[in-house]
Amino acid sequence: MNAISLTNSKVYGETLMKKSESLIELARRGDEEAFRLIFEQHHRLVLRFIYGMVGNLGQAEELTQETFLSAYRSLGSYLEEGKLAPWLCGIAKNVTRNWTRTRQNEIFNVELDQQEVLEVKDNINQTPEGDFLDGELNDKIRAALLRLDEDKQMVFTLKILRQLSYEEIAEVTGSTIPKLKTDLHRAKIEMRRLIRPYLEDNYEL
Amino acid sequence: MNCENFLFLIDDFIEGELESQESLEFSEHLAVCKSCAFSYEKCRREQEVFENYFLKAEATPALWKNLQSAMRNEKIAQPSYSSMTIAGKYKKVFSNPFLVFSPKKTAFAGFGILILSTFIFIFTGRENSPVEYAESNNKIQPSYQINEQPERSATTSGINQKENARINQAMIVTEQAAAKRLRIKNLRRPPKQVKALPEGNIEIG
Repeated sequence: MNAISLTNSKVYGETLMKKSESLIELARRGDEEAFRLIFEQHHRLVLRFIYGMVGNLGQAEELTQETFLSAYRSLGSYLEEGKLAPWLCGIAKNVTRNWTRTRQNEIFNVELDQQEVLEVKDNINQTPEGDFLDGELNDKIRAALLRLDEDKQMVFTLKILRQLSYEEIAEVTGSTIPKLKTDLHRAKIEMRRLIRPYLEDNYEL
Repeated sequence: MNCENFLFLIDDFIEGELESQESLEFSEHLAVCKSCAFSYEKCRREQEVFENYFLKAEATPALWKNLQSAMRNEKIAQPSYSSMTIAGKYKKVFSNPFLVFSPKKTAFAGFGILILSTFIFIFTGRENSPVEYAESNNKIQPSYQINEQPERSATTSGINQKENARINQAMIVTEQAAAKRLRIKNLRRPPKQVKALPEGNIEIG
């Protein structure tokens, strides 16, 4: 992309970012640039939300692509303006749930207290997150997250990402706000129980 | 604020969920209680560890490219008009570029309305007034002649009686004209064929 088109694209983007409603309207009419801007604004949230539930960055990226493709197809059914993030997270939840169902025969054997932290049929450490500075800590957190049930995983992840309110998270999970708060409290207790010994031993916390 | 309340509110404080007064009391207790400050620091560091786990997850540049190529084979489903809310229907109708306000379009529409109303006035006004119709066909005495030649002996009620009689006459003239038009129309119709049935009854075709 040359400098002129990059500048034009930037100006176009800034104009469009003023109103996400107009972005949706343009994307609905088949404007690819408008959809790219929607993608730019929300793909990190969707990717990290899915990552929290599947624990594999490569797989999370594939499911993020599927989520946005599904969102693109059903742009016409998006009616509530200004609630794009919870809408996309709702699609991501369904996409991830479907993927999990089709993978029921795969062996996910999470053993946090044993030397072998994670045994997965696909070698998860070959994915880019293996390059992280502290891979072992990531493995511990991933394993702890995968031990939580789906509702607790979702509320814990979305609350840590700090982009959605309780009302919006309730819209994604389909739970009531009191249940969400209870789930979040229990998820935190569980996560701390699993992670705290490791942090105290290695990070002097 | 006592230590028990403080420990209960740590997560809410970290997530920024506390009200301003509660937040102030929390900060005051944090400044004076070493034991609570230690607990708070522990929770804050754990929160950071969890946040970093998600924040390090980034999409590869291939994600958008793959999505883009997948999107080109897809079609956006447009919303059905009946499934929209009233606000959505209003928005859909007025988001049509043809209906966007411009001085040129307004002038054009105004001119069109003026022409249309002139035609309606010319072609329908006479039919609707039996008095005018009768006057124009010289069936009754025009009103200006009554005003110009008032009878010297006539009282106000006498003039009203004459005017009422004039209107009644006009109604009769109009009805006669309508009846005449109907007779002419019936004369132009082809005569109905009457066919005799074997049983002696007749069938009108």
